Amino acid sequence: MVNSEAKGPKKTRRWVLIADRIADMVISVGGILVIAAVLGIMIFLVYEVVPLFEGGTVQSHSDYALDVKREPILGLSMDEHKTIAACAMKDATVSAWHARTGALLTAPSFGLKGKTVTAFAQSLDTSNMALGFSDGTVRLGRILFFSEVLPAEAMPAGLKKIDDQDSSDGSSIYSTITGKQIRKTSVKLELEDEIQASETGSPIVALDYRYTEFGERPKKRLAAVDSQGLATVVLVESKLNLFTRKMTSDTVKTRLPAIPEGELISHVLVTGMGDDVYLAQADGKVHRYSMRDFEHPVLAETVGVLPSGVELTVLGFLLGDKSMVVGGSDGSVTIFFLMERKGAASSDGLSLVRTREFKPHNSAVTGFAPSQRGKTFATSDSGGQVWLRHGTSQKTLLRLSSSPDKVSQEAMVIAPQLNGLLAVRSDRRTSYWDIDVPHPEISLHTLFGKVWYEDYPEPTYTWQSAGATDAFEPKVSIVPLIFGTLKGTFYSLLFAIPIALLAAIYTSEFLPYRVRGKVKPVMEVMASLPSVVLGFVAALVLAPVIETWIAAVILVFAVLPLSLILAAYLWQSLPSPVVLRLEGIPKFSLMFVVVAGSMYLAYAAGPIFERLFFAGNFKSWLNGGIGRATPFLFVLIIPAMGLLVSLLAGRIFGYRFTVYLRKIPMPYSALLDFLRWLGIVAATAALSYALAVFLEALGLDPRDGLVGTYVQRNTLIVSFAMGFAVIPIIYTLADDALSAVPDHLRSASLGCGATLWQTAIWIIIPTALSGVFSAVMIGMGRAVGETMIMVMAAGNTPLMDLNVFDGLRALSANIAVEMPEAPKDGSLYRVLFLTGLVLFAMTFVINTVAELVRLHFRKRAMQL
Amino acid sequence: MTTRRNKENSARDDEQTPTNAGGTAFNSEVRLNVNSKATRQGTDEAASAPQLITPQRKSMVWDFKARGEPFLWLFGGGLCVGIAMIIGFVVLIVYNGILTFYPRPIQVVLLRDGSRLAGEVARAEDFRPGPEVMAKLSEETRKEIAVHEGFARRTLYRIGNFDLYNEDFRWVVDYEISGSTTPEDMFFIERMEWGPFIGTIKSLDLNGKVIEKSSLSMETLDAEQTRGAGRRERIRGIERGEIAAVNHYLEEERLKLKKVGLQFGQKSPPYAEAEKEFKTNSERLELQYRDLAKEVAAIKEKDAQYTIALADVSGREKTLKLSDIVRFYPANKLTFSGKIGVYLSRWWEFLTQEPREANTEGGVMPAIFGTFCMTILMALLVAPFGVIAALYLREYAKQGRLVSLVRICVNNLAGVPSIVYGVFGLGFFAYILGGNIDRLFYPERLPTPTFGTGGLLWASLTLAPALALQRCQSAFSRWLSAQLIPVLRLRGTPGS
Repeated sequence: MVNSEAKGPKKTRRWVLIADRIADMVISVGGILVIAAVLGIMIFLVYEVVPLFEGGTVQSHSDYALDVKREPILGLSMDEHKTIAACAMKDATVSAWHARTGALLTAPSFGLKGKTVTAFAQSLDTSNMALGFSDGTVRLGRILFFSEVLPAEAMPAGLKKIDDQDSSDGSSIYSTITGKQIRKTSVKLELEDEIQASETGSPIVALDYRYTEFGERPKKRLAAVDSQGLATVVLVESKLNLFTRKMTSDTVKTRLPAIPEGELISHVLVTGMGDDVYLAQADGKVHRYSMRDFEHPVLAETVGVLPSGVELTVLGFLLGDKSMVVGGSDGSVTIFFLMERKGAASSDGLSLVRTREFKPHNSAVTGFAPSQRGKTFATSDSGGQVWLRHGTSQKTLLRLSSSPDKVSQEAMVIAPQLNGLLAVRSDRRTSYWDIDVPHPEISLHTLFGKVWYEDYPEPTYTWQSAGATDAFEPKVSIVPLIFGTLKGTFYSLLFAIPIALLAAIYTSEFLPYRVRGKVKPVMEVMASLPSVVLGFVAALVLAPVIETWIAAVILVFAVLPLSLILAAYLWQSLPSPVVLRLEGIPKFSLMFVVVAGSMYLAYAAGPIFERLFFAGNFKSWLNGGIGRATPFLFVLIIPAMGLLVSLLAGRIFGYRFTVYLRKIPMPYSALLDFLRWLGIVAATAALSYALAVFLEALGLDPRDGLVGTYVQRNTLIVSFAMGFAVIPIIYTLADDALSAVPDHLRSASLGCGATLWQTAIWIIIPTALSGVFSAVMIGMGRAVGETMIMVMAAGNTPLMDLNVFDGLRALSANIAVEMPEAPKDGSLYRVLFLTGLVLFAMTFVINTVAELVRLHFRKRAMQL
Repeated sequence: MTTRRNKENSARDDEQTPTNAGGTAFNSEVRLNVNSKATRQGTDEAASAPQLITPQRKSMVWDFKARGEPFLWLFGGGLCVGIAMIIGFVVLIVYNGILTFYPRPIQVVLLRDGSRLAGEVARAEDFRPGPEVMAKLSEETRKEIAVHEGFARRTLYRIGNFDLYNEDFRWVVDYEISGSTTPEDMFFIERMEWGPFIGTIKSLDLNGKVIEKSSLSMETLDAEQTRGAGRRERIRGIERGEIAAVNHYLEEERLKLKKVGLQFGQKSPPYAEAEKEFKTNSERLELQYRDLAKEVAAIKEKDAQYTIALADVSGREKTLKLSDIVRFYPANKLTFSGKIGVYLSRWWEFLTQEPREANTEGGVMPAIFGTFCMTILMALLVAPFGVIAALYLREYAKQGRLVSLVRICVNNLAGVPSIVYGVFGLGFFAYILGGNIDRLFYPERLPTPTFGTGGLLWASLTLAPALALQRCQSAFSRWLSAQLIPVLRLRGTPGS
């Protein structure tokens, strides 16, 4: 414990050593805890995000032989709680059974004994169905599942137990559920009067049925094709009389123009809105009829949706009736959208466009079942495989198979809550899966790639997490958010870095020491302003003011540096005794006067500038209605051109001119120097204008990209407000770095005869450069993560354009805006965690780079 | 441990000493404020010295390039802009904030169409009337506008009386006005509901005893309003305090019963016992509740007898319970001290009362209280963590990979955006930690969350590490390095 070095003239006391050791341990543990904290946060974020990318899981699976007639099954249906399944069969009968085990229930009946169904269609909710018969009639029916929750005492005696949870009395299922209650589920049928769909009384061969309900006004749409190839569309609108509670129905029919002779229709589809009807032939040819005028349907176009030689086996809509799923005998599955297309070969300007292609099945696609929740759907193939996929994310959620002996599925249905799937094979082997697909719509592609959404003319990056209707699909591309963050950061730093760095250099190198002690705390006060106050003031006070004086604000950026330089030239032409006497605080005060004066000048000259450059109204100029592009291009080019011209001037006659100036007595040399500057300014202006005219002639207009329509809460406002948050950080850290440059370097340089300016630019700044860089990086980290300013001042529009005068939505603001709406463990919740993780990663990289650079700088500073 | 550190320190000292002995001396001078001024001035002189000595001719010669005057001015301009920003911002906030509560006179404006309105002037601005508006104006007005280059001036009046007018503010253009006065009997009356009332007082009805305007003194009004406010407070006190307490106990009893039920089952003997207890307790509480409700009803009935009759500027009458008046003052008759009194009382209300009318009136006390509690709680959590982290980095963490790693992590923790901490806090503390606490300790309250929702504790816990590192790292460690470390170093260096 007590070692040789500690044995000095005085022995260290034991308790000091022990305390030291304890402190050592506690503090080291603290250090390790810090690492653990960072890792912990990262791991937690990842833990919340990972489930997004998982497909789905099968919770349980049961296989049983279903003991029903061997009649072909037309359609399957299952109730919301996955208790009872029912199927309609070709002889117009219905069977019902316990979905998990196959225990049969007494079958309800449509009462259509002896009739044979020739065509069948089910609406998306699977309970509404249409039956077509050989006499050309169609009957609409409905399988209704009734569930009621009863107290446990209401359980009747003498039930037959089916499994742990359920028992049956032969016609209903009683399930015990949580909270000591039971749920009774039973099935009932309804049948409506017959509709004569075929005028000639020919058998119906293809049928489609859509059932939509707004309030209590169901709308039923039916498309039927008879064996002669004649298609009829029937619309049944029902109204509920509010007084008598009686339903009255209106039925209207219209006949579609006949398709060319000899073509055989195998599938028919009608949209829920009734705008279009599709008749498809087995060879993949689809005839689309526009029904915008119900009385006079027209054949809008005929397109082939499959390569030749491939048979069309499946045709159906996903939820919303916008995505048409096409399955072929080659196993292919594709989705078509109907959209406006330039040069469409149709009579209404719309055209079917293939937008998605899925991984093909190994054998012919035989079955299709859409989900009532989102764009998930299942397809089955002749090999008996059932694939569950999502239409937008194109993710294959599950691959199920129940048949090692490769018997194809005859019918299948997805449970209404997307938590189960039931498939019946032609040999009546039935499979029931309890599934869990929590986030079908999310994939790396939908998050980061361009996605072609329904009703969009092309693939886009879109963030729109909530919508008004059930059929709405959340669009969660986080690219516009990342773009917004970067845009906001870029413009903010463009504003903040020059001010902060110039101020820091001036404070550390040129400001008299007395003033310095007062200026620094004032700048640091800025850092202590809560960002919510900044955002609030920026959005409510600054934004309207800037909107009114926008031209003046733009003018400030030019007037301020120009008048400062002008003042500098005037200053250096003052006689030297005056200069020496006024050096220090008076000079600094004079700078204030110049800054204030130039702001006033910009304010006063704003309207003139607007008239001269932007045809009198900047905002309407931005909209592109008036004025030319040249003036703004001119303004944009000036900074770069100014730099170029000054550099060139320095190269060509800089040195000689300097030497020459030295030989001339004072007021004249200063005047000459001033004239030189004026020359540079004039040359810059002339060259910039020439270039601007040239660029406009080339067809360049900044209004397409860099600037555009003016929105009140825009990136400019954000960058102003963000300036308050970022400037003090960069300023303080940069000032610290500059001040940390050892004074002996300064002294040596000044001792060699260098001026303060030369010392600053050639000695101090290069030495402190890495520290200054790290200051900028830390400021950038702050800008990236800034939340409240973005929420309040940025307008929160998730757009992707560079326009300074348009709003943006940043990652951080997005979390703040949407988190309260996001249900726990839902897709949005996890996507927001993902945006948090992205934000964390961005700041992690920025801060780590800053720290590494700073460490490097420390090492170097140590050596000086 | 100690030895190793000493060794390192001395090794570093050894390295530094030969290379920059002068520099160290210089540094130590800079640190002491007394000397630094001299040094700095020396530097300034040094800078201008060559320029002073160089003249080769009679007149002064300057090397403009070496002076870099334009750049100096740009640098200085940057600093000026920064300072102007901060000062401008503070002035803006203070100016807007300070004037909010100052009582303004009520102007009665007579319009050209014969109607009148009364209100405080909120602000005025120039605007350009559109062509449709212009077409409806008289020739004279149009000429007037033409003189002002197409601009006209309009004033925004806060007219109050939302229950009568359905608007709080109204724009009036100058050319619509035929005259304005500031009558002394106009009152500004702040109410519990519907915002302020601006108008005159007609009469007072004190439980049947009617006092007309003519015989009404300010003292009577003040006294009656204070009494009314007392009744209001009493009703509120009973409703929010005692009745709420009874309800709370009732809920408590119900939860107790439910807990026993969850623990032992509903058919067990302990449950029957608890049920019996619940019955007696709840009956007692309900009795209390009935008494309190009766008391409130009695006060309310009495309260309704004390009313004030008001009239707006165009004579529309409105009767108000005296207890509904929060504050009233004759806006045009106020002395300076009276104005200050209203001003201060409004500030007091703002700082000490709860918000009313969907946060548009009343005070911000709950927000201040929440901020205060969170800050205290967080500071308690922060202090040890922050001090340890700062100590570690400043004193112990000098070299080595681990330490650089810790340093990077600390800077990252400090630099992680607060919104990420918010997400983390919600997901981890509120939902996972809080959800589990609920499940283990408060099953009877589910599905209503007790800990499994956002709250003060979770907010503080989430903020703690972030703030510990952000603030303590900078503020505390700066203080530490300035005050403590030189002392420690001096003591640690052998032979000094």
